[in-house]
Parts: sequence; C-alpha cells; structure tokens
Amino acid sequence: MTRPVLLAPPEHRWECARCDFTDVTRQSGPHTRMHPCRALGGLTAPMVPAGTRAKVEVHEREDYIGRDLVQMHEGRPVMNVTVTRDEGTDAVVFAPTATNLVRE
Amino acid sequence: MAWSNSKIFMAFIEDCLENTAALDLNSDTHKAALFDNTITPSQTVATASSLYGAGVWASGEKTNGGWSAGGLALGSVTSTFSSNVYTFDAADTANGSAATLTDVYGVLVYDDTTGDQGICYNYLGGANAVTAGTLTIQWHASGIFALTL
Repeated sequence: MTRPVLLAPPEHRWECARCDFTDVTRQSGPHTRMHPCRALGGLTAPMVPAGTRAKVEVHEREDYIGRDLVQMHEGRPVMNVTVTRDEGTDAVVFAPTATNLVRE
Repeated sequence: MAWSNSKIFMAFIEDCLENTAALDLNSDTHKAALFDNTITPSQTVATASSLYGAGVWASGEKTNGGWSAGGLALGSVTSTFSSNVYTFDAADTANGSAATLTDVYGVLVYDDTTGDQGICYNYLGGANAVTAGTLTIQWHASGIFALTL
C-alpha cells in the first residue's frame, strides 16, 4: 500500500529590478512578491522572477489631491509603481484614504 | 464629470447609526471592485444607489483574470479607533492569477455580507493598468477610510 506524500510547494526566487533585494517564496498559487524598495525611498514595488529583465517606474498622481490623503514620494503625490517585464506589467497602486469632512 | 475624490458614503454612516442595516465592519466580508473613469461617484447618494451593481456602480467595472466581477475580498480587516480617529483598514489587495486591465481609476469598497452596501470609494488619481500581471491596491497608511471626530 502506498502512502500519501505531501509535495513541497515550488520555490520561487525573486529580485528587485531597482535595488539589490532578493527573496524566496514557497507558494503554490500564482503570486507576485512585493517589497519596500530602498532605491525608491521605501515605496512598495513588485519584484520579478530572478533573472528577468525589467524596468521600474514611479508615476505621479495625474489629478489634484484635494482633501485626499495620498501617498507621497520625495514631496510629490504618487499614483503607482509599475514594473515592465518582457511578458507584461505589474503595478502597485496607492489608494488614498477616504474621509468625510467634520466641522467643529 | 468623473472621479475626483475619495469619500465615505453618507448613507453608510446613517444606516450604521440608525441600525437600518446590520453592517458589521468587524466580521462581515468586504470587497473592493475596480472601476473606470466613465462614472461620477457621489458620497450623498441614497443607500440603494451606493450598492455594488446599482447606481453609478452598475457599469464601468474593470474585470480580468484574478480581478473578477464583484472584485476581491479584503483580507486582514481591522476596525479600530485611537484618540478621536476611527480607522477601517485591510491588507493590500491583489489578484492571484494574471490580469490585463486598463483605465483603472477608482475602487468601490462594499459590504458583501450585507446587501452589497457601499462603504466608501477611493480615487486612484489617474489611469492605472497592468498587462498579464498583478495589480495590487496598497491602502494608505491612514486606512481605507478614516473618521476624525
């Protein structure tokens, strides 16, 4: 009688296209590793599979801030960080906090 | 008109305070759905028009791959107050399987347990896109929504 064997989740090696940070994940489903990128002043950026050529870009918010609490980077409001690979694009989009005005 | 700001639905606040609906930010399932710029969200709409799939939210949803219709469930939700600030927050929200999306301008956060009632909407500030990849919504350090009283 054969005994069931648990297969270990596959190992994924990641690297940042902007800084020298590397990591390893063991997760069976599709996923993308994120990290606070040192080269981007701590902004969260997607990592790419080790050995993948990629371009990392920070995009400024395209509209007025108004009263929204937005993510700032080097004094400017940031909309997203995108990573462009040969096969596609990943993005971390920074959502502002929703608020209501309460007057005293 | 189009997206212009990030707001909490007034109907949500009223329905909580008046116990009109059993909205429970602690334990309900909440979802975040992506929308394009063809809609003009308003914080003052009645409850019926704040629901996912109703009012302006009846069209303009962006779906593909892991970002399926109805959006993604929020994980690790927290509902807390400190000093005079109430904060609703969650872990970053991202698709598992690859998605191709364009013109993602904003997010509707709604209560999937209690009639899909809208809680708030968050304007992402412009056209966001991914191609065969992951679109992660990183919620602001001050939360998905915050009430300062």
